This record gives sequence, structure tokens and C-alpha cells, in this order.
Amino acid sequence: MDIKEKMFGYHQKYLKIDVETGASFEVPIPAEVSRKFIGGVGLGAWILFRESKQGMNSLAPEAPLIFCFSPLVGTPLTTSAKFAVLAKSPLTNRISDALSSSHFAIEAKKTGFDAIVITGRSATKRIVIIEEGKVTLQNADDLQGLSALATSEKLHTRLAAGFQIAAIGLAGENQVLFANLSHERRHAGRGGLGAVLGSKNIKAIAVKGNTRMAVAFPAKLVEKARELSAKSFGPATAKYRELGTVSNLLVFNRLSVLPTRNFQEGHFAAIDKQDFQEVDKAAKVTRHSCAACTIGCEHIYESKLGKVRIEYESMFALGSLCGIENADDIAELVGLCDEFGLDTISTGGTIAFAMECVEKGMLAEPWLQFGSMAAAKKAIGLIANREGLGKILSLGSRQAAHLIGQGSIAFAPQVKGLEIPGYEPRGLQTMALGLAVASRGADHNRSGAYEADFSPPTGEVLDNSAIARSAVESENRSALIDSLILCKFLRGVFSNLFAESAELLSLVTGWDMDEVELRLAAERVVAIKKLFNIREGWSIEEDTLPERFFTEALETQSGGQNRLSKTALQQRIGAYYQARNWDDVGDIGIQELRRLGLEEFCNESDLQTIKG
Amino acid sequence: MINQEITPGFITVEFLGIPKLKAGVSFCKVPAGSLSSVIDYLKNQFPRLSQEFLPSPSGKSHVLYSLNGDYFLHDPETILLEGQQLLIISADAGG
Ligand code: SF4
Repeated sequence: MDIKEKMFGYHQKYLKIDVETGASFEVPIPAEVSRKFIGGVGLGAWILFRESKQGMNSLAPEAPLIFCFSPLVGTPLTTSAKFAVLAKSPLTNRISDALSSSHFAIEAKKTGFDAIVITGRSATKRIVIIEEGKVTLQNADDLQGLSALATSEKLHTRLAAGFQIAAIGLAGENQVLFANLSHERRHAGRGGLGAVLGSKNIKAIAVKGNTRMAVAFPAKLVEKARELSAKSFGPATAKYRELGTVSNLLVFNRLSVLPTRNFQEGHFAAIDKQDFQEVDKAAKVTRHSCAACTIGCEHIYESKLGKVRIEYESMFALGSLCGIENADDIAELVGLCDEFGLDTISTGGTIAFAMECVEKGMLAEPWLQFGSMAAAKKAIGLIANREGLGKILSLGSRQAAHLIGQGSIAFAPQVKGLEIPGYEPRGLQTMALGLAVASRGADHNRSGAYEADFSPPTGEVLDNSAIARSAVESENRSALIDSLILCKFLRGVFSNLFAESAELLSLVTGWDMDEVELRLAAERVVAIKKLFNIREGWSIEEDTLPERFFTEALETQSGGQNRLSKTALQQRIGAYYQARNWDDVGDIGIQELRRLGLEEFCNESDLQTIKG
Repeated sequence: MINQEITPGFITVEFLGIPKLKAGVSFCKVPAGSLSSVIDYLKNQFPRLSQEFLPSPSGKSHVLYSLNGDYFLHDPETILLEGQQLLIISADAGG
């Protein structure tokens, strides 16, 4: 068949399921939409925009939860076994887009759809089973309260061979606002996507399919895949492969950018106890990888609770941020979060915030002290069960601060309601901008602006517009990678990410894509997420950081001080809007929407102007 | 700054992450001098580290040099003085 007629890489439709009635139907995706939004986060954002109503409650039955796949999944390209999950976040009331990995992505794409949209609310607890295009709902009473992993294990014995499962734990069932959704210990972690599935009374999604996706130029793609795999064994990925992200702990500490005791400090005296390169700890670590990955960054630690995947973000959030010293204790806390299905960053951030409230006498829970393993453990249990103090903390640090009052919002470690990851903004000023403007809230995965901070000076004066350009470029790169989807840990092997990705995508789809087209697509993906937020009530006041970062200097290990000026950040935000062609208050004007090919998202009066 | 005894005429090099793995030690003493002379010394002393000093596909270095943990160095002619600490870390900070 002529490749111009046949669609490669896409099924050109998504499956929409109403879990209240069990009804399902197929919705076509026009070819130009696939090309404009690529897949993963980009295509998922387009579907979310269409499928959701302005102002809807994130946990209402009509709020859609979207699993979106990519054109590269199922190909031999290394790290391509990934899927995106999107919804309006119950934690932030803004867009949430998270990625997870492995066999679920491959199998889900084989069901014959580019995305699966879940809506409605089941009257009883159920699982959704999708086999090819056929949808059934099964009782899940026996799975109640189980972890995502235990749910999968149980379902593997119940269902026919070959199903892949994504599930939630108890926290998702209880609609903790930062509950995650997991597959094989890999979490779509941020923003409470597990709570959205829980609100639908759905415990798990099981997928199985036989529809193989054709590729336009299979032989050339295999050749490229081999090249990419060979590069993935080189030094550009060595840190992830050999040591895992957990090795950031000691480095960030040494550079005084390791958030400690709820961002009151930037280095942690006990960090040497968390050196996983030391023999005693290294002996308890084994390496694993997602399906179809040649890097294998997963470092699995044998904790008291069994095997736990240790990552920098989890270890910092439940370690230095809460003042907890012992590596085994932290690994146990990470294991506990995994067991309940809690996002570790938001859990650690919210508990650390509450610890500081206790320290300052704002919260009468004297047991909740920095450094106490027992307290952290108890708090995690209360959050997952939404009991006692856990009722407040299960809402995240922003809402907890509003309830506690007394000015505590100034040190609630969040942006747009999402807890801040392990990058200290006062020491990483480009990242400070990235954290402030990101659509899903404080975010290290949609903005890698820290790369500019972790770079040697080039001799060029780093003025506000240069900082803004760095943040924009970093977001665009992330938007592309998250839409293709490839793993970010592969990014260092590309000399020109956009040009090389265009080549890969062309080989899969048969389209003649180039760097310019993909750059525009990445900008479009960033813009549609922003448009979603604008529709849901975003205003410029949200693009900022907690007051603490402007009023408190941070001591460095060498005796210096890191400071962040509010005025400087505001100027950089202005420069960022300008670099994005947005207006002074961060809105996207008609001309820009037209340049990005987003006219369909203009409102009626705007459209009249465009048609002119 | 990590407390390390000052050796007259020497700087302290501290390795973290992959550089530590390749060097097999956390610290070493290197004669004070330019950044490039320090790197040459380290290449000789720790052959397994050499690959880390080569540029990545995107032209960036695989490692970063930080003076005392305060700021990154770029210019190979930067002079490192007796008693200073040079931190060598993996360039990729992602996590
Ligand atoms: S590098 Fe790590 S996260 Fe990325 S695909 Fe491989 S195992 Fe998964």
C-alpha cells in the first residue's frame, strides 16, 4: 500500500468508556491532529481539552481520565515503552500530565487505540478490562485496600495470560489528592491521577491486544534503533545506568541545593548515611529496567518492606526534606508510599510542611517532629487512610496551609498546589523560573531548566532574557520527549534532539518531518496545556514561588548565602512570556494561537477576528 | 566546604557520582595550577576517568567542575590555588 494513503504509527481513534453504564465507543482522531500533537502528553492534552467541560470538578463523574499512547511505542526504539496519563488535577485544579512505563504501554497500544478515555462513576468498585476493542467491567471487591502491585499480581491469576495492568492503591481509593497510579512499580505520580481513577470507583485497568502497528520504513528504523541503543550504553547515560538518580543526593548536598527540613536549609549534615555507593548499601541494590530499555536506570533496594525502587526525588522528599537520616528508614518510607499508592514528592513535602508548622507552634501535633522516622511513618498511614491529621494532609500542603492559617502558606512548599521537587530554587535560579511557570505546578519533569544552572558559564552575560530562553527551550524539549514518548534519561545521546527526533518520527509515520515542524509542535504542546489552565481559571498570580524563597536567604556549605529576589523572578517571568510570544499577563493572543495552529481553541469572538 | 587538611602546594579534588566510581576514591590531592593541568594530572592518575573528560554528542562535557561547591568553572586556564577544593561531578543533573 502507498505510504501516503496508509497511516503508520497511529490507530487514528480513541476509546471512550463510561464506567457507570459500561458503554464504550470509538472516537476518530484526524490525521492532522496526530501530526500536530504527536502523541503522549501532546495528543492527551488535545483529548483532555475536548473531553472536559470548563470548570468541572476533577473528581466528578464526568471528569475524564486519559491514557494516551505514542507513535513510537512498540517500535524497537530504546526507552519508547511509555504512556501518558492526563486529567484535571484534584490537587492543583490545573492540568496534570504524568508518564509511566513498560509493558502496559506496549499492550495498550495493541488494543487498537491511540488513547483510552475513562469517564463516569461505577456504582460499585470495579476493574475495567479492555481486550482488543471489547470492554468489560468486573467486580473488584476482593481487591479493596490492596497495593497496586498486589492488585496486579491478583489480577494476573484471575485474568487470561497476557494482560497488563495499571492500578491504584488505598490512597487512590480514598481519593487522597496526591494518590498515584502505577504499573510494575512505575508511577504516573504527580497531581493525584490515582484519586481521579479512585473517584470513578475503578481499582485497575487491564489491557490486552493483538493489533500490531505498522511502521513506514521498518528496515531503516531497525538500523536507527541499533544506533540509538549503542549510544545509550555510553557515558551520556552512565549516571542513570550505573548509579541511578539517587546519586544526586550527595552532589546536590555538596552544591547546597538539596532541600532540607522543608526548604529551611540547602544541605543535610547526615547525608553521608545516604551514600548508596558505599559497599554496605550498594550490596543491597539490584538493577532493573522498563520494557524495551537499554539503559536500565531502576535501582531496586532491599528494604525492610521488601524491594523498593530508590530514586533521588523519593529519597530527598522523605529524607532530608523531613530531616530523616537513615537510608534504610527512608527506603522503608518510600516502600510505604508505594504500598499505599502515594506520590512520594507530595507526601514528603506535605509532611515536612506539617513538621515545620509543629516546630513553629502552629499545629498541636507534638509527635510530628523533623527527623522522626516513627512520626513520618504514622503520618503516611494517616494520610492514606484520611484519618485524624491525615484528613488535612491528604489535601496537600497548599490546602493544609489554608486550613492551618497563621501565615503558613508562606512556607508551604508548592507551586499551583503541587509540591516542589528536589531542586532548591535559591541556588538554582533558572530552575526557579521553570518551577514558577510550569503548567502542572512545581515540576522537574516538564521543565529541566536546572540544566542551565548546572552548566559552566559560557562567558555570555546571563540576563533575564537569556534565562527565559533557557527555560523555554527546556520546556520545549520536554514537551517533545513526552509526546514522542522517549525517556528523558536518553536526552544526552542526541546532538540535535529536534532534528534526530524528526528523523525517527518520519521513519515510523512515513511523514516527511523536520526540525522546524517538531519545534513548532513542541511549542504547541506547551501552549495547549497553558490554554487548558487559562480555561480553568489560571491567573498570573499563580506563576510564582512561596514567599519563603524571597524573604529567607539560604546558607551554603562554604559560608555564603543564596538569595532569590522576587523582583528578579517577576522580571524573568515577564521575559519568559515574551520569549513565548504571550502577552504581559501571560495570556496567549490570537496571532500566537494562529501561528501555532491552535485556532480551534480560540473562543467565538476571537474566531470572528481571525476570520476577519 | 568539606574539611580536608591543606597540603602545601596542593589542591583537593573531590569526586562524586560517576567520577567517584571511575576514580575509585572520593578525594585526592593534586598540585595547584590551572584547571587544564589538574585535568591532565587526573587523566594520568586515574585512566578510567579519561573518558569522562571527553565531550558528549551535544558537545557538552560529561563532567562539571565546581570550585568549593560555589560555582562552576569553564575556562581551562583558571588557576586553582593551594588549599582550594575542586569538585568533579557528572554533568547530568536530571532526577
Ligand atoms: S532509563 Fe530508566 S526510566 Fe527510562 S526507560 Fe529506562 S529504565 Fe525506564
